[in-house]
Amino acid sequence: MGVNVERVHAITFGIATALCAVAGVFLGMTFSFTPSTGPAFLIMAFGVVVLGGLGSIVGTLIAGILFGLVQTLSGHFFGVVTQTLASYVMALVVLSIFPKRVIWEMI
Amino acid sequence: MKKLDLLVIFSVLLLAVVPLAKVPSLFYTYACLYCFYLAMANMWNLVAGYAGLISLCPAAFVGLGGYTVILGTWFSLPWYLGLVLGGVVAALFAVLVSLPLFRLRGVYFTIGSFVVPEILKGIFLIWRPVGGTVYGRGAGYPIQGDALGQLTIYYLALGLAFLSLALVRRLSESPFGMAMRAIRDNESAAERCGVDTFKVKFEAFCISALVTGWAGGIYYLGQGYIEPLSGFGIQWLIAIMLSVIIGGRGTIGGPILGVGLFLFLYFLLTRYGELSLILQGSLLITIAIVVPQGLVGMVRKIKALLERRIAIYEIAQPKS
Repeated sequence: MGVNVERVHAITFGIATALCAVAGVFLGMTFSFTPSTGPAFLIMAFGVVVLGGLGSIVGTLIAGILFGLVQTLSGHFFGVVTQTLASYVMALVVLSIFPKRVIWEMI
Repeated sequence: MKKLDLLVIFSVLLLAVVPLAKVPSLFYTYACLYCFYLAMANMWNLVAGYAGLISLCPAAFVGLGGYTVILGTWFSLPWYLGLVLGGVVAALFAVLVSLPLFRLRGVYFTIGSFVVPEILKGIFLIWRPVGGTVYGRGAGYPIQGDALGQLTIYYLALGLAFLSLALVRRLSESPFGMAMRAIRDNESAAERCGVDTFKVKFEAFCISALVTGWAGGIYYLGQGYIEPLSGFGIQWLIAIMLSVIIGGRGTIGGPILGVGLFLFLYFLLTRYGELSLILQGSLLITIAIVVPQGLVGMVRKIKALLERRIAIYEIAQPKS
């Protein structure tokens, strides 16, 4: 079809990396960090994207807000240790109840 | 493939009689680690390489197997019963999580399964099943009573590695293996052709959980101590995935070669400390770029090239 696949992949990856770096700057301004803090955020980002539906921008936004709310609320009501646990359980439960529909389509 | 079978049986027998000779105890450490990783890698290969289910939750089964064995000793359960029970607990847990997980497909399944060990880690960081002194963060427990000898662990690990190899070999050749490969290549087509996809995926997943649970149980019996951050840690997943992918997914020889190379690199590079991660990572990326099919794919390619060379040579020769 004439699309330069490698070029498009490279540009997409570049944009994604640049945006991630900007997010990293803000993160560094807010929280403390070490070279090994990455995976925790990675897992959360995975959860948010999958919950929102791959390729859905609004879904990702809503899922991100949902994730943050669940973490904060569970931290407030059940203690700090349950924060990540609650968000993962929430992600698994939502995914298994609505396996195919993304959040954006549910609303 | 017949040759490979003989080679495997021969090397297992050889390894079984090694303790007759005096070998340094470091040998047992390496051999045990190799056997643990081989058993786990084989089981991940069964699920991901043959059935095409990229599950990221072997760590959950490793941790559950380990916790069952260690906690079993707290309830004065003999270690062998605890060990058997560890695999069963892991398999039961697999049954439990497969209910929600198998509703998901493709990437969604992968990410969904990635969350499972994280949930277990979170639970074990909060929940302390039995009392006793607190070791480390969360539910860290030492083994109660006498620890097992190195030789016992060695034979257990060797037996388990052999069992996992035999299991993958038998299953991959059976109609069940054909069904798994059909699902991997095209799930909807397989379903339309009359393969009960849920049943096949479910059985493969549970078998892998059972053996991975045993591997985790033996590992933590040898270790004598378990805590949630190591039991459900991501390092299990990384080790297993790397070895299978380096070796070649969906082949029997793949994990055998891959685990060997992974452990070799791991021990070779540990002396470089922080640098080792960089070296290991770049080596692995190089391998992935140069031989995307894994080591087994490379061997096959070289074989094919040689055969073609020979064939061309034979054609070129004038027939007398």
